[in-house]
Amino acid sequence: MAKKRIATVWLCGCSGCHMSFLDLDEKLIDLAALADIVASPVADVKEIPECDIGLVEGAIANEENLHVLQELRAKAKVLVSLGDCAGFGCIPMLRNQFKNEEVLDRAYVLAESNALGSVPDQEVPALLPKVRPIHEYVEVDAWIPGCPPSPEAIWQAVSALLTGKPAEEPVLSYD
Amino acid sequence: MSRVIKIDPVTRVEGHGRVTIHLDDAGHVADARFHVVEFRGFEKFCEGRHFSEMPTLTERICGICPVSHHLASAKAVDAICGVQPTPTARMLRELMHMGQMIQSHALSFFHLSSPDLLLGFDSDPATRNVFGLIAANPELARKGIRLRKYGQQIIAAVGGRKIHPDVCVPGGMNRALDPEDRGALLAGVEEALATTRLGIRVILDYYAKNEKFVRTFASFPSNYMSLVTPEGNLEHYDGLLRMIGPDGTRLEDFYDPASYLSFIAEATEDWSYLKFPFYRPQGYPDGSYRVGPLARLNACDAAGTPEAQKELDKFRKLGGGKPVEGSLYYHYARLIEVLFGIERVQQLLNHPDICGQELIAESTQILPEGVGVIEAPRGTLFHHYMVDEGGAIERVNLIVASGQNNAAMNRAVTAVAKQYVKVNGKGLQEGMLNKVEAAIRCYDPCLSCSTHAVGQMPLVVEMFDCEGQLLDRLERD
Amino acid sequence: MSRIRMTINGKAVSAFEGQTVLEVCRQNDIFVPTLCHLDGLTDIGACRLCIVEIEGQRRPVPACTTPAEDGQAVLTSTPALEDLRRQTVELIFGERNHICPFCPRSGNCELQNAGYECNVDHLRYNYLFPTLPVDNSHPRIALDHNRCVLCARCIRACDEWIGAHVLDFDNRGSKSLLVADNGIPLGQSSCVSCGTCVSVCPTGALFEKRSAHWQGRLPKELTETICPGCGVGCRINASVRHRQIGEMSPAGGPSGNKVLCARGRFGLVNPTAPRVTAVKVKRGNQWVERPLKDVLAECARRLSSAPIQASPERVIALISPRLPLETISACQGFMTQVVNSPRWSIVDRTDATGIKRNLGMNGKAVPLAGLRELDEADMFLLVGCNLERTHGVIASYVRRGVLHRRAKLVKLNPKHAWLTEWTDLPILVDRNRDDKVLTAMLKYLIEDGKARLDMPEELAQRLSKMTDDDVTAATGVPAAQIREAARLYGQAQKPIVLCGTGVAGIYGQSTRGIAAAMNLVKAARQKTSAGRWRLMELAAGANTYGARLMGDSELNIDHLDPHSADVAFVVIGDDDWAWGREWIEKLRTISFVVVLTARNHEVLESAHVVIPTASWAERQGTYVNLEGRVQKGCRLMEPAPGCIDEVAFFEQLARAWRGPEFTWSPTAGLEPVRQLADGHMVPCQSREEPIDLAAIEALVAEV
Repeated sequence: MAKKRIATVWLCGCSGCHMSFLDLDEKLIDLAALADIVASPVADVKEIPECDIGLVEGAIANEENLHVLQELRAKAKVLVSLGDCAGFGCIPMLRNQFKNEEVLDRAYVLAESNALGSVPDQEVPALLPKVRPIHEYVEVDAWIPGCPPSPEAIWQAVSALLTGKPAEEPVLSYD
Repeated sequence: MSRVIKIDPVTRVEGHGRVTIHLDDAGHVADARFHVVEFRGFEKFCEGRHFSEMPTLTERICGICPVSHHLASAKAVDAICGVQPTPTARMLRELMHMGQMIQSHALSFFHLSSPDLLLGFDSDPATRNVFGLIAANPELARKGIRLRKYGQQIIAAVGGRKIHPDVCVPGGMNRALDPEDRGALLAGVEEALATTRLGIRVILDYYAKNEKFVRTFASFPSNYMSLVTPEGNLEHYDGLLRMIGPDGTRLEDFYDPASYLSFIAEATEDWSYLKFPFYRPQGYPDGSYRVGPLARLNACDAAGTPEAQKELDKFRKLGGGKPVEGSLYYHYARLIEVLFGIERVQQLLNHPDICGQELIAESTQILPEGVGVIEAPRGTLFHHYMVDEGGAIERVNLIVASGQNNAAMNRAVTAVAKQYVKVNGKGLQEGMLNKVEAAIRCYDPCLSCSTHAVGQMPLVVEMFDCEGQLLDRLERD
Repeated sequence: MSRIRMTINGKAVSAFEGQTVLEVCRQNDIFVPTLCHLDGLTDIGACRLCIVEIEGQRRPVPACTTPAEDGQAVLTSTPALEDLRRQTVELIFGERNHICPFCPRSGNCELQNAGYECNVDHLRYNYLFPTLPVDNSHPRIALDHNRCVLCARCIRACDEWIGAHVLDFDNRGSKSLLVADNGIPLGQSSCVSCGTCVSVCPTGALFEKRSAHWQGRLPKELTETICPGCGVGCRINASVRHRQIGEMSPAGGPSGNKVLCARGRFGLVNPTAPRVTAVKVKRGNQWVERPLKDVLAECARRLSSAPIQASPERVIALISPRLPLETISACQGFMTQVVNSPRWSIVDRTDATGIKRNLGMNGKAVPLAGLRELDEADMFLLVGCNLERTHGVIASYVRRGVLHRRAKLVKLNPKHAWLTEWTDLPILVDRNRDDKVLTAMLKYLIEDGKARLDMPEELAQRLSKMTDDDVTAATGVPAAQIREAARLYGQAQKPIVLCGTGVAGIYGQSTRGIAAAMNLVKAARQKTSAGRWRLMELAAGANTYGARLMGDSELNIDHLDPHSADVAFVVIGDDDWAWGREWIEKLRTISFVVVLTARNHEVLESAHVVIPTASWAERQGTYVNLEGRVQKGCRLMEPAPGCIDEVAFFEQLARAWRGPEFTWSPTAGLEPVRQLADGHMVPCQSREEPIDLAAIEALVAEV
């Protein structure tokens, strides 16, 4: 059987879900036997290739997040939302209570330590008006909530997708 | 005609970024920029919340070093309450922090950087990653994975879980260390030390084989800043600030971290969401400084633990009496810190009160502001909160570790680009661009932290003329 | 109540008419998810999680507000219901900014649990992203509107249990906002800071600032014990981890009440005075650590001095009534059996001897009303009460009665501060004359035929001949007010008199106030069916009653002549009762003062020896509350290192002084409660106590 291809992307999030993925520890070695990681922040491929499973960490906060998400959706047979940011919007969504200018001004103009410069607007992706979970933009096939999801929850979902065996009833966690 | 080369995204660094290389009319590198393209807005959306929520909220800035934010935030809220944690709580915090140092440095070295060093900068990008390393050197990969796991185990034992623990509260910790966990962690010390020694052999072996490359790769003079103990030794959890110049002179010494604003300021550039901190008296960009493992080892007088001290003595020789400048030496410095971390873990675990039950120092005070400063794996981390009389957060100021290396990363990228990027119409060599990324990876920038503020570490090569017109774009695949 | 039969999920069950469908489900262990329901509160059917299908009804109905009916066929779980519930939970999540990871209630949140139960792994609806504030103005409680699910549990508890009705909704629908008073910050509102809203909040919308994060994701470890704060003796669940007390919540009791007061909830857990950690002796102005045996020898030497040998009553003991009965008994036993001095007293500034004389307590509790009688009272006569400060839980009972049962409220106080709008008759009276007002009320009640009293003809004559002007002159209160008070009292079916710590006599001048109140109750024959007089004497300490059971003490602490004592034992625990300068100065003139205390205390200024003892949380033992109910408290944690148990201290001192063969019983004082299990009442004396004629004479003498 040909090895399955997995791509992971990290959008607006803290990378905790990817770290939890790495917390599979020695199981990473088992995973390497079952699948190829064809794109990931922890690997060197810059463009998302066709893949069987796409894992998305992070919410959609800026134009680039959205572009990457849409690209992965187009390339992945199964798209999985990994963690609370992708699935619920979670902490990045706290931004939605404010106008983008307020948030940017606070960080780049009003910050106590700020001495020089202005809000970055060149060669950086523009913020979308609201941070949203990924399924508000593309079709999502499965969700693994958690902040971050436990390595066990990730393994349960990923191994089920890799082997084609039905996953056990997942144990949900929102924190 | 000037051109810009873009590398997008920069992978295998813990975050979101992009590099552009600006060429002059002759096709030579004029400038190189490392862009951070994510922004979240923690400074704004924390406003109004009660300060006791900050340690669990702000650790979500970064999934790689949540413990650092958790602790810096905890120290800031301690300061708001006007209390010092109990002695056991303080030790547990440092223990968890050392776990964090071990796991983060192990990740940086074994999972992210060693593929460059072991598989080669010019090897196939499809396998130049930890999975490639698993295939090429499964034993080393397994050991590296287990070292990171050990660090994560320490965090889990102290904090209840590996990522985003919720254990720090104003004035202390909410759970004691289980004596069983203490035993299990002590039992892991020897293996962790052995793996670290192996890592040190690997990096020293690489240095020996590539002596000239290593010495000159992204090497440049700069200031360095770090916390040190009141005795001037290596310190990560607490201590006082020291800033040294390129020749090692002490620009600031034993500075109270709470007064950081009087000598640190930040600049912003319109092309990056990551800010550029600088040493205020020298202005921007002259006052740029480096932080992190290299800075800490350059700034401290001594390590404070025996085996790390031996390695530190060897490390010092690299600088010949001056601070060590080469960016690739960050890897060595990082592994020396892992050694130090494991030795500290052992010392802390052997302390008779480490499983103590007195964990929270209570206070009824609310002071108007609190600053928490800590040496995160990537460098000095500042959390600064201002609250009202009810404890509601009024303002938040954060200076993250990677930000303080921002200017250095740009200099490193420029230095490498000048040295290796030769654009002569024949396009770009993948391995050459990877050297640019490798320069960034030396700093192990945690862009997740950096972009606490609204993040992806992307590499595309684009060429721009002097008017900023896109002439050519090359994305890596 | 007639019995009805119905089926739930096809299973035949029986129920009583008047029960709700939810109650019947719960009774039969059939799970129905709920969010806005809370046992003991009126159901409002707000959250719609408990929807069930009932045969014959077109739409699902909320189980919590649907009455169970005979023949009903109820389904609690069908695919349609499950989907509706999931939608409901999703809509609740999307309506506000519910972000679990940094919420202090995460892991212990009813909304989160509802999400897990309904398998919510993402929301199918768009978020509303409302901009909502966090109210941090209250010193103890934070209110985060982002996490509010509008279940109104806090509103109902504040109203129905506390009788405060501080909280309510402003606006309507999804725009509803929980507000305090008329929309002012909680910290500036009429909030009584009892923390009940925090206890009942299903999410992290209301949380305790101090200890919200102390639990982390770990399960709560609760230990039930007795609050030492006042005579009510509330049972509290303390969440304790690693010697740190987190949240305190009501454990239901002593009579099933679900409330705590501000002191019980917040006041016990954060004492600021540092602990005493070692046995110390004062040398000049310095405290010097000494071994216990040296200190015992020194105490023995002092006790052997000639003046004490000649008159043992030159030894006195002052004991906190907030200590367990076992500790009080050891100290009292040491005084009465070892020293042979009857001069011991509890320190709550109530004159125990006087009360005993008047209420006829002599080793047995007097049959007075309890908390249950408060909940049926239709008239409250408050005498010398500052309930909100001294007995916050009783204050809730009174507010509830006034607010929900329209009970009348008459206050005899020097000030008119509390429940000002709801008081039917505030009578401002000088503290020393409230007894006269009570006796004047008695006079008018007798005249109206509402009370009867056997007294000497001559006295009865003089009383009845007093004119309104005489009454006004004698009491300093317009007679019309007293007449009105008497009318309200006489009209009521179940009026109750509450004598607070401010009753004349309790502050040492005399005991007339409590005597006059008792006369009134007796003359009006206001007795419960269980034979308890409808009067409560609001003891200040958790064991004030318990200590009184130990028999007579001859020490009136307000009348202490310091020159009459050479040695004083002061047993404090960690009582924070303010002694006052006068007291400290009095003690200063005594030549040898031994203080047994857990914390630094102002009384240490006058001490010569300090013995470190356990804090409240480190003690276990027996308490007898103001109803006469025996309650056992558990220790929340082991005593801190170096603490010396008072019982052991007095035993060792007895040996050091009287020799090893001397026998005495430190537990003798426990005799009245020895056979009584937790929760039982100390048996009441049923004999008819005589009327206190002196109180009547005091009034007529003014003419």
